[in-house]
Amino acid sequence: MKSAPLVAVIQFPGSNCEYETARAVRSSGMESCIYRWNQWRELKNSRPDAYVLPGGFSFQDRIRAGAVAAKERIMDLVFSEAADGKPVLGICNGAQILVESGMVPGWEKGRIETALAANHISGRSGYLSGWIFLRTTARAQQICPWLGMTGNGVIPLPIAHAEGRFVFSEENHYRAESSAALKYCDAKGTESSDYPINPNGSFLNLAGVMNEHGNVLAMMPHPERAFWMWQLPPWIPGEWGDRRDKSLSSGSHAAAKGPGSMFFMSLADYFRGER
Amino acid sequence: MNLRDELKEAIRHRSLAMTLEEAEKLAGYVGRMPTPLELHLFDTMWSEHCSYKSSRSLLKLLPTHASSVVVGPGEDAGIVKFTEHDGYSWDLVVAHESHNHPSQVLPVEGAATGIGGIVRDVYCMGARVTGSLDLLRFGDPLGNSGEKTRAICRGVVEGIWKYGNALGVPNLGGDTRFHRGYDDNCLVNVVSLGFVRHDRIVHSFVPAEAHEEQYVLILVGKPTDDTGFGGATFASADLEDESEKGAVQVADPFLKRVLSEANMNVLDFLFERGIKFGFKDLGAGGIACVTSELAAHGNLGIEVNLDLVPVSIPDLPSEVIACAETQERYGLAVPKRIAAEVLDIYNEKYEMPRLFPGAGATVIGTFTAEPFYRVLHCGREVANTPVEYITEGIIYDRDWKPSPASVIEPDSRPCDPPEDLKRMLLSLDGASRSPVWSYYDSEVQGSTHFRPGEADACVTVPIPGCRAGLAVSGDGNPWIGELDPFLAGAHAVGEAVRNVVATGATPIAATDCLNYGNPEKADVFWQFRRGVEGIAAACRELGFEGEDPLPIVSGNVSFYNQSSQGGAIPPSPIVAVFGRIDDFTKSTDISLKTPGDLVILVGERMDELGGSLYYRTCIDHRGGRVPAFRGKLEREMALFVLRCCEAGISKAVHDISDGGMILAAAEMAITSRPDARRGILFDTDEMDPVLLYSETPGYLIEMSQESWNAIESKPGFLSVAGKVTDEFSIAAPGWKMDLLEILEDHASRLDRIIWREEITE
Amino acid sequence: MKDVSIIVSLKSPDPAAMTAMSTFRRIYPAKCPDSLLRYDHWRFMNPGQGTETVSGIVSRYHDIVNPNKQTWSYIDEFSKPSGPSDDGMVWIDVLVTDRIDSVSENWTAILRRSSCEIEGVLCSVLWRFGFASGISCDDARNRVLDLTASTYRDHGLLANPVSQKIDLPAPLLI
Repeated sequence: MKSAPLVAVIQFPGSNCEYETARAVRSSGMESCIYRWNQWRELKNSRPDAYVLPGGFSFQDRIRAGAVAAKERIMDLVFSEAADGKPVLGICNGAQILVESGMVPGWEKGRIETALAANHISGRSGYLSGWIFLRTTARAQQICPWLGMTGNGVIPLPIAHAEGRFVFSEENHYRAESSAALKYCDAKGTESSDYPINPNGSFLNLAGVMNEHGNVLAMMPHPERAFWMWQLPPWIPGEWGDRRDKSLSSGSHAAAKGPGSMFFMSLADYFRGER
Repeated sequence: MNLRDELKEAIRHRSLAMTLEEAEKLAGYVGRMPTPLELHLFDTMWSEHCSYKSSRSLLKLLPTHASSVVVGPGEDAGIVKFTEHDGYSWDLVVAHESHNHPSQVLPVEGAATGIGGIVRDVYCMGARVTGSLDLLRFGDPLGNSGEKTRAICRGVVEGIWKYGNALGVPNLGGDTRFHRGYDDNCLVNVVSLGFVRHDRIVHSFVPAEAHEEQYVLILVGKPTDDTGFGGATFASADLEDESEKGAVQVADPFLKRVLSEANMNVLDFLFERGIKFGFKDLGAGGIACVTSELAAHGNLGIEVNLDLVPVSIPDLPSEVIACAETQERYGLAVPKRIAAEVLDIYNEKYEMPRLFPGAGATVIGTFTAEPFYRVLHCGREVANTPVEYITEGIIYDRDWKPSPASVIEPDSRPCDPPEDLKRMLLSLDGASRSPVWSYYDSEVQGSTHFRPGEADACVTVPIPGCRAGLAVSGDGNPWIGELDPFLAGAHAVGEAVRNVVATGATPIAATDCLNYGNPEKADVFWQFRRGVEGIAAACRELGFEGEDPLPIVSGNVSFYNQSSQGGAIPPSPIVAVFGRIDDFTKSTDISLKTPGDLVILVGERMDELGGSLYYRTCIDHRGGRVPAFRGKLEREMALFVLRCCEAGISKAVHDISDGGMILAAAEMAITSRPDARRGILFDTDEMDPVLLYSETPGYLIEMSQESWNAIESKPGFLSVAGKVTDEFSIAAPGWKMDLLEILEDHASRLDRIIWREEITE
Repeated sequence: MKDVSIIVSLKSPDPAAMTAMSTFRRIYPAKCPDSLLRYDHWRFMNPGQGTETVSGIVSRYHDIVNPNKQTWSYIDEFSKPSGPSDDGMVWIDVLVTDRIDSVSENWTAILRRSSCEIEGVLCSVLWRFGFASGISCDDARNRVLDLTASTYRDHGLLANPVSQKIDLPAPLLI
């Protein structure tokens, strides 16, 4: 019997957020193990309870971010595990891989129904790093194991990507909202399509998209980079800014958890069956 | 043809950088006409870039010894003690290089391979690389060569993000400056840092065990091609025309990332088995340099078989295979008995051959007891020379001639604080660097505490679970350089030290990169000499650990930075300083926090505005009287700032540099929380350019009135400058500058000029 | 006036083309082309002086073509027949274009603001598939379409039709 849930972090050639992502999982009271792209047999045998595809540049984003990794053999396994309801989280490049694998929104099994296209910003192209704010949709809070504890508040998280704009074909626009999990908003919680509130021109201000059952979540922001309070910039406004100031003045800054921890703690909570 | 003519012909025909005298010296060593491979190998080893032949005699002036130094200059990177954690000693590994010439010609690739090369230097000491920063100097983007300068700037930033972000090494800022002296020759200096467990430091020579047991040389990485051929000598030649510069390599962060993961696995394997080994990255001079140096520094010989080297282009001549500078390669010296297991990790476990055609690990050589460097190719011996000569190097004593700039101060200094502040905030050097940083990933690895712009130095928490924080900053001011080369060196150290100290970290080590024109010119060599003396003087005064100086543990010299017309760049010594703070949660950023708090000025303002931002942007004058370097005072001020931080009374600290006290104040206000905007109200109504704009070294500190009152025996360099207000403005009785109205312009200025090409003024 | 297009290629082997080729070999061995080339494709809309304007832009902005690492040539878009060539290969071009693209928009803005006489610019990626002889042009076209349009995880690679447009030349009439 396993003592704690095992979360597998998949390392593709070119991944670069696997270590801090695994640390975030462990700091949330779960076990984590990093599996190399060609360790699909080991991965299968260890029967993980959940999967994370971390950020990075799998295959150097050649051809299209996520496109080549989506075709790796190890993704067959992730695909079928997701179909069985296992929680799967793709962060940044991991989200791009999930999109290119047709795992979100997943209306038709395996069909690629969305794209994470190049950021669309007037007068600017290429990579964009910075902090954004987002909120979790009500439906996602109910059905997504990664979001159970995120609440209705405004969540500051960092982004770092060149291709983060969710796009749907026109005939699917009507149902995109049903897959919305995370939406960009301003520091006060008001949604907007204006740059930089929506940092990439994403359709419906989407920062994260889930599948129908909510067990698969593709998100562009990096929760593992905001796991601890000390990872937040000093200027973060609003509730989390106040919390940061408080942890600093109370001397608990090193151990205080930040907004990104909620995503991993939600999963731990989900496994405890407390929901 | 006699030997002399034959050598002369070879130098011409092969475009070698070596002199005829050097070639004759080589012929004397081998006792015959050197082979093509030997010519190219020694051409590289004796290049300015590898041999420091012009600079070595002066570099001895730099303090490199301190009790904290584990490895000083000489290996690929310097190492200093950092902290103890979890029963292990952790050391900081640092390296500093330039990639100026390649970046001028191929900005994207030049800047990318700049990072690629410098991180290899840190990796190959066995370290995990946890940060890199670029110190960038571009021409005037609005000047005569503006269009070219803007394209170079865009390209360099693109190269940095495309490589660094993909590699997964957080970018820790650095700085960007503009000066028309760089119109034809930009500077791209790169610093990389990492951490290694003290018991796992790796050295770049074959271990002593190789005298007892057969060792082999494994080459791992990208297949060899011809793209980098001549790169090392290229870095040491004048920039003449751009057509010949096929020498820049193509960087591949993807392959590097996989290679780094595989290396980590291999090093773990070797350490766990208790096997001694040598490890070195391939840079200038390629296979020839790495194999000969691994052998020579271990007092052994080596026999290399070029037929075993994987190549991506058929039928390359032996000197190209041996000396090409193909990126993303390492050499590893291991016992023959475990070579197969090592190859397996690279080729099977990490599937390098599948991920990149022709990539992988191969045994290409055998270490020998006879101290000869022998290379075989197609059944022939293509090099055979005693190893001792390869690393011996050469040295020149260059002439120097003082050529100080004349001191001309302006006749009048009008002072209109709101208008002057606005001009400075919107000037090229005063505008926000956020458009540059927005391309960089500063947070990968999850250990970043302060990102670029939030504090005077980036602060990271590099060892998971350990509270020790690392602060790093790099600096160098060309405007001081052109007025006083000695002070340029001294202030480069001083400014970087202040930036690190402002965060609350104690400086523990420094690196330097000395960027100058042609050292064969006496006035340029004088500038170089003064710069080294300035750095040495400042390092001797600014040590913070016992009686030790601030040690320079790694560095680089870059000469021949000039245009085809021969105009040298402004003297540009660039220094990076590394600091440690035992508890990172005590580190201070620059943002104003609490209305009513006092703003304390550390460091009396002096009338020394030469080269200041105010002179340049407000009265269009260069001036002449540059801030003096007052080492003792500088150190006392730093110790005061560190004590305040330790006591937890400083809420924000910002050093005073470009734009003086007024610009420092504005930057502290601009970084305040957008939902709790703050400003500063100065006490004095005096509109004095010296008080407001002088760049005399110093700091501004925010602290409460109670904390200020509680400081016993206040040093003479302290005074109260003003108060923190809840208005988003910089003001004094009699004037006020509202910051909101220029905030957007200040933030987007560089973006509009460089990336959007909006240059209509 | 008409548009002028250029293709730009690296002097060294193109890493994306190498990755695409090795991916094809691994997952679609039966459909894999024998050769695959990749180019940046820039379409200049209504240049005032035709190719003269375009060559001026190309030599002026090294971001578009850096002569130290790239070569370029004009391409008469799709009027040049893809199909059996002198080397006995069947060559099929496919053009992949982002439906919305900041790079094109930004360059359009920059070029319009500068004194270049140009209406706009559109960047795409041109993939050139080469098949050894023994394949009909129609078969080759179908293979190219299959390999290009990524509609399912196990189907296609080079373009995601949700966000990208795929243009193939008209079938060749022989």
